[in-house]
Amino acid sequence: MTLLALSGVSLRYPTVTALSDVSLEVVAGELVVVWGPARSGRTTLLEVAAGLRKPDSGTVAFAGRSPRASLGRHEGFAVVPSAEAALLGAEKLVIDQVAFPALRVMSRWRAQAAADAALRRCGVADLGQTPMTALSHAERIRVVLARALVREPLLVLMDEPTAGLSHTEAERFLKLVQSLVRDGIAVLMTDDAEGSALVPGARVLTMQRGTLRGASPSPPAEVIPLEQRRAEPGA
Amino acid sequence: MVSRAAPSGVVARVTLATIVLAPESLTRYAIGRTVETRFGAASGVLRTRLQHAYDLVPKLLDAELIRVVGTAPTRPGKEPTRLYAATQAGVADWREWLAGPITMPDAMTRALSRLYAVRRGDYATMLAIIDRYEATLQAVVQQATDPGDPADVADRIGLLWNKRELVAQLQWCQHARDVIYEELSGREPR
Repeated sequence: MTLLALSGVSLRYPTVTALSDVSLEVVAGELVVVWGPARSGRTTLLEVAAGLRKPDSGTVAFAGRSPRASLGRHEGFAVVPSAEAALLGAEKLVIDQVAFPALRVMSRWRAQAAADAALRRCGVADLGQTPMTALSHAERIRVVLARALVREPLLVLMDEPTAGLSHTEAERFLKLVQSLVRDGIAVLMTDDAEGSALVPGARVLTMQRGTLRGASPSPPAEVIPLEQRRAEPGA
Repeated sequence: MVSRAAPSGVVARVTLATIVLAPESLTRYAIGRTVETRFGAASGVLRTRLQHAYDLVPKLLDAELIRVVGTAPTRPGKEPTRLYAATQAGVADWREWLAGPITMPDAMTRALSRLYAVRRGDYATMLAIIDRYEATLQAVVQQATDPGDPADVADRIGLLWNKRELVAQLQWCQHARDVIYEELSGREPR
């Protein structure tokens, strides 16, 4: 099932073309990594995909609708910006940060329970009562991811989540991302020029000078039951 | 005369390319020397020497990809040496090879040898070769299975090497493309 679909999207800033006729589809349960050199248009691509920036031309849709209608909604999609940009207030506790997106639609008690589950999912269950200021960079990006997961999105957009992490920390974080994908959550993430997020099984797309290059999606082959294969060998 | 099958292998392909791209017909020795200089020792694209291309010339002639177009004088008392040029079939074969898939293993060699065998200034073909090479590398990442965390430290270090090698090759595609864009825009590549 196609979740996110960009078709012929172009966007130009005053001095540079950020996106040039970009088309991209992300299907359910898929990990897509967009990487490339600095100032290639990766962050702009995520902003346009999330409906946060309007393209000059082309269309963007999430599950066939405008992305703004699904951003941050249950079974919609979530955005994980860089860790610093996601802070609500440095003095707040982690549990309050993570529960915040759920408070609009459920009771405080239920929102905190959902936040607890998201923190467990991201391997930082013991940080709930810690102030945001006390977190390391590696912990903070996990907390920001937990906040994105609290509304149970079908797709998560992440902007260079491994930037600033050590190699070991980045590897651990990418294992977490892969586990989300195994659980059926689609992930579209950008990566810096070091390519640390090029993990096995990811669909890799190169962004350069506003142009997106990459292999077309290859959905897994249809599973044919053993009885059918025995009945129709070679079919 | 019945044409035989064209010789396979990347050295045969670059030998044919050398004859196609030559501004004038070449002797067998000049073909071997040019292939060695452009693809062998100097650039390091291929591990090939003069003799390899020299031996391939009769095979390309048998396959009717090249033809004899004249002779050039040699030392007194010696037979004149033949001059070779590409046939229409040879030019078509060269074009088909340039546009062909760039597959693993040795995709880097396949891509580089093609880039060296493009007509000077044909940047569109060069970009297409880089795109196809990059797509092959991207497919390698997509088709790879997650090895998990091997218990053996050497295995973990080896996996790290594989990943860095793949990333370096993908980065090379980006840098190569940048060099061509700079050339197209009329600026000196940095």
